[in-house]
Amino acid sequence: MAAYAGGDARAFEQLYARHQAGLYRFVRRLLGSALNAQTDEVFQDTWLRVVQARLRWEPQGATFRTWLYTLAHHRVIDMLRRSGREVSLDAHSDDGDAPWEPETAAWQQWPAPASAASHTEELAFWCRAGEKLLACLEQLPLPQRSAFLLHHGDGLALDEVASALEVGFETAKTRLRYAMSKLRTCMGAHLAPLTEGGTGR
Amino acid sequence: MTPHDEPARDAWLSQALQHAPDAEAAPPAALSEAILRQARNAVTPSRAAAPARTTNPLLRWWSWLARPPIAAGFATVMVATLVGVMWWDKPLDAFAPQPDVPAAPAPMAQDKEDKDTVAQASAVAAAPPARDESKAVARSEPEKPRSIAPPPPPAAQRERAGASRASVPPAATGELQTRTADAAPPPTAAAAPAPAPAPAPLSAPAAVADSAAKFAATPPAAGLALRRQDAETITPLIEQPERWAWQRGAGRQPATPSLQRWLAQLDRSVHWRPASGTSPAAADGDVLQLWRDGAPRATIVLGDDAVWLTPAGSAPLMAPLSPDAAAALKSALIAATP
Repeated sequence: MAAYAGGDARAFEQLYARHQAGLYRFVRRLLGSALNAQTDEVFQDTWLRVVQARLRWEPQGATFRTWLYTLAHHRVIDMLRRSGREVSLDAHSDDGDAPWEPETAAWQQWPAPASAASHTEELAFWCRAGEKLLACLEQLPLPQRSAFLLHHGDGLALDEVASALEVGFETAKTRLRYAMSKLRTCMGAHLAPLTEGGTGR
Repeated sequence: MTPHDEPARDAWLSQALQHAPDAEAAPPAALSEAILRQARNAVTPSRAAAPARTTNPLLRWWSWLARPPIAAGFATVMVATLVGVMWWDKPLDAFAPQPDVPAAPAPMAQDKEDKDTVAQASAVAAAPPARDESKAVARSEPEKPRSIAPPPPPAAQRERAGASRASVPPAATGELQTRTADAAPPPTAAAAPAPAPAPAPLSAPAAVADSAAKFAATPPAAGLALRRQDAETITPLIEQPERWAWQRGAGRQPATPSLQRWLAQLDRSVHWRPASGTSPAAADGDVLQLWRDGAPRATIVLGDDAVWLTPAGSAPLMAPLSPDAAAALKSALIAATP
């Protein structure tokens, strides 16, 4: 980024090539299916903010990727608000005091994650699981959704998640735990019948 | 949990996320190209403009001037300058209240002549070098004579025309005609000699200046004209002291540099206005008579709260003074005319 701020356009091309796919998926999943059509707009706006802020960018301990996802997160919030959706930045507004703990029975019927690519049947199962996961994601509040996507989808460490979402470490951890608990419950409820009938397991 | 007390990634959820339908989603090629093009364009002009900013001072100054705040300030200064230049030739008294100059009560036999003299003095007082002021006075001139004096006889008109051509006030016609014959430049306020600073023993300028500021409510146009008239009376004494003499009490004595300085101080410090009557009676020590070539030319009377100047053949003038300023002028006069 410093090289691009100094006038090296090829540095930006390298940054773009490195982060464009992950950022695009993050924006798309964060917006959800209802606002899927605005993904390109938010994605482009995020990168243009990077271009405009190139001279003001200072690392200050944060990586470029963290800063990039912060910009994208802000753009998504703006888009959701413009579309008339209520955006609550308090992830615990409708939750109880403690995270909801999922039942573990359904998970015992799932195939092992490491064997996903080895069998066609299991691959089909995970594809369906992916579809359901996206549906379950849309039921999460935005803060929990963004924490989960950054942590599980883009591989950010939890402190990077906290930095990208501009919250404290404990807040990010709580949001992530709530998100994982809800997603496990949601996924188990949807996939358990399928695993019993459709896949023969 | 990790050593950082971080929740471990759920392997099942991660696996499901990797197999989601949008796992292979990517921005359209056109969108990527547009973003990259804008990124390239953003850095290209700055690289091209950088050498120009550093090498060409004219362009650097021009770009600095083209910045909106600088340009707005510069435009404001230019407009103010333009308005100032356009206003330069306008009379200062255009918006001032019209001076209410009362005519000095005088005997009926001299009324016509005196009023005519005052009108002429007002007209000619704004001497030729001050072009704008002569315009101002000339503009206001038709009002005063119309309301005060009847149309002058042809002889008086000829005399006045002659006086106007010579730019000489009637009160000092003789001496100034003499001066014109000596090819001396016409007197002006700007050309009025600035004598040496008042010596320490006088110590009156501060008090007199205070008085002048206190009584500076005199209408500007009338004050200007009368001050010029006063200058026409006093300036020749300063310029040609060998032809002048003074008398305070008994005995006439030739003019001295001390008297010159006192007169210059008085000239600078007061604002004359027409006196409503003759000067009051005062002790001989407070009355200064000025003689020129053996003939009385002016009388200055120092009172406790004002000073009166009565040029020979003209209406008396007066200027208010604070008690401190009057006392200072008196002490300075005593020192200058022992």
